[in-house]
Amino acid sequence: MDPKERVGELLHRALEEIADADDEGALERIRISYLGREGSLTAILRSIGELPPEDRAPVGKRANAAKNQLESALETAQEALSAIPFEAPVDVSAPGLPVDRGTRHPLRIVLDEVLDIFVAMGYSVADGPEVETEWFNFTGLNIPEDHPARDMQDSYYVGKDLVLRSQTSPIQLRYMREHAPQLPVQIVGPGRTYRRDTEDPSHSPVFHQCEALLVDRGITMGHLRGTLTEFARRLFGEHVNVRFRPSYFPFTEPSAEVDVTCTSCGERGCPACGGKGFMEILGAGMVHPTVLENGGYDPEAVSGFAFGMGIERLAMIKYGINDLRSFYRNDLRFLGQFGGGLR
Amino acid sequence: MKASYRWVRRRSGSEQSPEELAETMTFLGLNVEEIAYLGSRVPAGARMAEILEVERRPDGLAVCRIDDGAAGATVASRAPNVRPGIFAPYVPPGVAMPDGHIVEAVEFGSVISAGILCSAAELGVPGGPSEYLLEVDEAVPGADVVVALGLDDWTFDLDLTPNYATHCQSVIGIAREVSAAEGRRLEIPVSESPGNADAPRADIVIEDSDLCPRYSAVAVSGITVAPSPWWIQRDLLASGVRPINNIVDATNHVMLETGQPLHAFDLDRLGGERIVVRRARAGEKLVTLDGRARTLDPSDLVIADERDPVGLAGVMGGENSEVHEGTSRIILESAHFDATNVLKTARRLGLQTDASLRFEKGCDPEATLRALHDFLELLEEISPASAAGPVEDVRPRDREPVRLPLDAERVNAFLGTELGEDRMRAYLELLGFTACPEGVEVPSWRADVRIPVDLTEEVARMHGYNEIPASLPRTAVTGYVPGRGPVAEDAAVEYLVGAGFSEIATRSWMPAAYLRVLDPPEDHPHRHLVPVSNPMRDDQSRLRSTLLGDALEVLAAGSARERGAHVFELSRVYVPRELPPVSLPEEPKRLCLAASGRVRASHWMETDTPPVDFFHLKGVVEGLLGVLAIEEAAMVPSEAYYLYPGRAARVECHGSVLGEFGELHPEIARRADLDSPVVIGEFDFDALVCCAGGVPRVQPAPVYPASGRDIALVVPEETMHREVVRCIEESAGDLLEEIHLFDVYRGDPIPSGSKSMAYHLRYRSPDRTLTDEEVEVFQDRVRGALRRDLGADLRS
Repeated sequence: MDPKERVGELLHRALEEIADADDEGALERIRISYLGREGSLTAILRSIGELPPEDRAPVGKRANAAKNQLESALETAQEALSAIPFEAPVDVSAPGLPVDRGTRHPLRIVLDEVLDIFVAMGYSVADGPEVETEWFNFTGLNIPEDHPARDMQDSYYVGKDLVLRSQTSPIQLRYMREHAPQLPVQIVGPGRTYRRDTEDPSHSPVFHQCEALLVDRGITMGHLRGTLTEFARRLFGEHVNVRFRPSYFPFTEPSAEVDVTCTSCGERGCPACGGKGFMEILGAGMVHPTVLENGGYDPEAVSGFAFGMGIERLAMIKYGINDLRSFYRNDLRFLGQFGGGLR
Repeated sequence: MKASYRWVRRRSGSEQSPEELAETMTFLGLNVEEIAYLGSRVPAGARMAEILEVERRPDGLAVCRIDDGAAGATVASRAPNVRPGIFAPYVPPGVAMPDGHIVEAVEFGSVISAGILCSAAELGVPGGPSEYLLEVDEAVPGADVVVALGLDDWTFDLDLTPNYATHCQSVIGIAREVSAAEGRRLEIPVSESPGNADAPRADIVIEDSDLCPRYSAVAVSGITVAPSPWWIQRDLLASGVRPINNIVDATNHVMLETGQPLHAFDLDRLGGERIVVRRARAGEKLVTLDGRARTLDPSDLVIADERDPVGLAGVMGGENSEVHEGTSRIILESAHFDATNVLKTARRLGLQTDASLRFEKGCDPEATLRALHDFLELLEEISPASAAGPVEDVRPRDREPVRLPLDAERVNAFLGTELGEDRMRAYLELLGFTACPEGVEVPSWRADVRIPVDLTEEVARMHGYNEIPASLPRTAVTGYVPGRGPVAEDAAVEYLVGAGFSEIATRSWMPAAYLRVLDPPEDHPHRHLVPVSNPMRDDQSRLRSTLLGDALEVLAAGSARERGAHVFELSRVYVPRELPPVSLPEEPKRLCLAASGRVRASHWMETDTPPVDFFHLKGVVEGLLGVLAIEEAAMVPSEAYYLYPGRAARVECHGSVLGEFGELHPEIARRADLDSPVVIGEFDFDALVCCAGGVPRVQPAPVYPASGRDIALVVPEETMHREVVRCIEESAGDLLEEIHLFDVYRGDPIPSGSKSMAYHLRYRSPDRTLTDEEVEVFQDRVRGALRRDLGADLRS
């Protein structure tokens, strides 16, 4: 047979065998039988030298081309056979396996945020009892004997001289008395407080406050303004403004109510702020000399500021909630919404 | 307190609009809560009319011809004061009245009444009298009623703090502040009416000068009691006070303007002409003006005639001396009473009046005469025939004015300002403070200014709180090192939230309903409750001793949902040291975990999500102990009354109890209306913190491979996992790394009363690869120990 035809026939047969091969072993056997040392195509390539000189070039050319074609067919078949078999696709729109996460209570979220801000400003966190003596809750805070807050109408009493604290301010007194004459006194005091208020959208007989106190030499009302501006901007955002309105608290003088830019309207005036453009967030003032004295500090030598805020109120402003009672209903469909979002 | 915008403007000379004025007042500390327009309900189309002619019919109806500035009309009226020559508001037919009805032409026999002549009440003025026609002496027929009657006014509702209530419960007080804010010092003209020596004299005896430091009075005869002129009624109505008659209205008008309460006694109804200011006798009775009989107490100060009390000093007059229609002689009282005593009496009797609200805050002791003279001046207009006697002013002691030093440097150091002393003095003088050798003399009306820092506040207020430059204090930052408690709290909360539990916040009470649901055994600490003396509702009468009741209530409310509820609360409970409490109770912090329904939300890949049970909650608890690094904790069976017997564990550590948890006792579940499975537990958070470990001690990851072996043993049902673990740990040697229970099996072929437990044991050496032979030695020791100590039958 003509060597050229022989090459063509070998190639044809090999390609058919490759097409039929269904595993890698079969392919290897095909490779060996054609291209191995003893292979039929190898034999032809080896025998080229024995051909007449005029045939050598055309046959050699043809045989080499066949060898290349065969090698590439083997490689393709090999790749096809070793490919990973894929599973059927899934419905990517079906729900994923849920990771059940709970949520922190919004009052904790807001309180933690407040505490973080003050801790970052150098304040320490202090604590005190909820059942207080009348002295720490009233007398020591310069609340006179006949002040309405002392009335049974306004505060809860537990036995004769014990009250459920009506504000977190007793924490200030306790801390000062424990640490005097150490300076500075720089604390925040969070906790539960109690007032005999009928429950309504803005009152609860049990609520939460956070108190802050800074006593040192040379503390000014300007420092109070600076500190509260800084606090409000960290809590509500860079853009908010803070304004003071003169007010009265027995334990501070001068005293002020502090407003911040309404978070809903940005001072344009809206129903949320009653058209005022500002929302009241806390009460503040310079610590009354009598309170400093009761804390063991000399009001001639040191001065200080204090302020107290309602955590429920801050949370209502922050989240746009208009009924304080929702914090205490513990409906998980309500609480579940506080799990996400960046501060 | 309510104040009229126009009145304040009139006295202060301010030109600000109502809104501007309200803002000015608010930034002075006079908090304006609400602004109401006085003429807001006046019917559109109401106009002034002159009554030209009146024909009284026998049935009392007056048929009037009026000039309404247009075509004129005939109008019928039943008002007693209707007469020719007066001007009154007129509403023509077709106009809607404030109460909604449309005015129509009405036939009265032969007369058709076209429209109505109105009383103040009919014009919709709050508190306006309804029994007579609103009349004025002068007006332009057809003029707009609102403007003609001064109803274009606004009532400010003020919420005054106690310090401003001393001097701002009056038009003059507010006007003084407003003027000062506008840079003017308010000058108040003093009226003085010479008394008539021929008229009767008031004879005054003060028996208790502590409670009544000053009593000024004047007797007036020739009085005619009648309605007040409209301008007085208008001022009163715009201040939220109801007009009564000219005498009472005049006392109220002076009080509203000056802040000094006045009271008029009917001189002819007094027993004798002497006024005695004394303490009440025990059991003495007085019927006050509101018609109620009051039993008095020696702590009350009364105004008495020679026999009986005729008034409660500073609070309310007595019915027995009330001014009435026929009154012709009065004694007018303008006195100063002790603030605290008025407060006590008013509070004891539950009686709050415009007078007591002013006295109890501290009135101006120098205002009594001025107020008296103002009254007499008004009287000349409202009862021209009256004749006043000489003004009496009994004042046992002179008042010592308060003088305070003004240290400009200190004020600046306190406020963070750089104001000159001149500027400070100018601010103070605007408010009526005067210079004196000691520094500054406090005006008599400022009972709230007592110590130097009070002056600082006034300077700050006049300068403007918001003008004080803000800066941050430069204190030595000590930095905060949170204690173990707060750190543990954060870690526990973060873990529990990650474990699918949501935080709840409940109130501090222990309602009786919780006690009924829980029903703790007698003498159980859960029954030792701190009582609240003055609860507003029954459910506030005790403080809680446990968080369990609230958690169950939240579960009951949320149990309808598919996954149920997984909740926790970290809060205080209240433990009395003695009952009734005389010392502060303990307030330990508790952590309550509770879950109902299924362990996870169901999912289409998991068709049968298991319900919560003991081991579910135990896993959560173990995770919590892990987070707090409490390694030595042991769990032993618990008999807590609220847990399912045999499915409850107590967590102990170093001899203290950390808490108890398990499945809820089925009787409590029934009483709480919980029908899905519930697990619950309560932990002493302070004890958890106490046992919590510190920073973990860590080892490098192991280098050499581990060798694992399974071991299955058949043991009696009572044998606990804990005993097996202890037995294995004690026998396996130091290279045992982990014991893992991977199967518990009961049933064929295991004999009943026994169970098969299968464990995987893992051994590892830190410094070499263990050989099979070595591991077999360990396993032999383990098997031997299990057989010997536990009587185990080993299957492999």
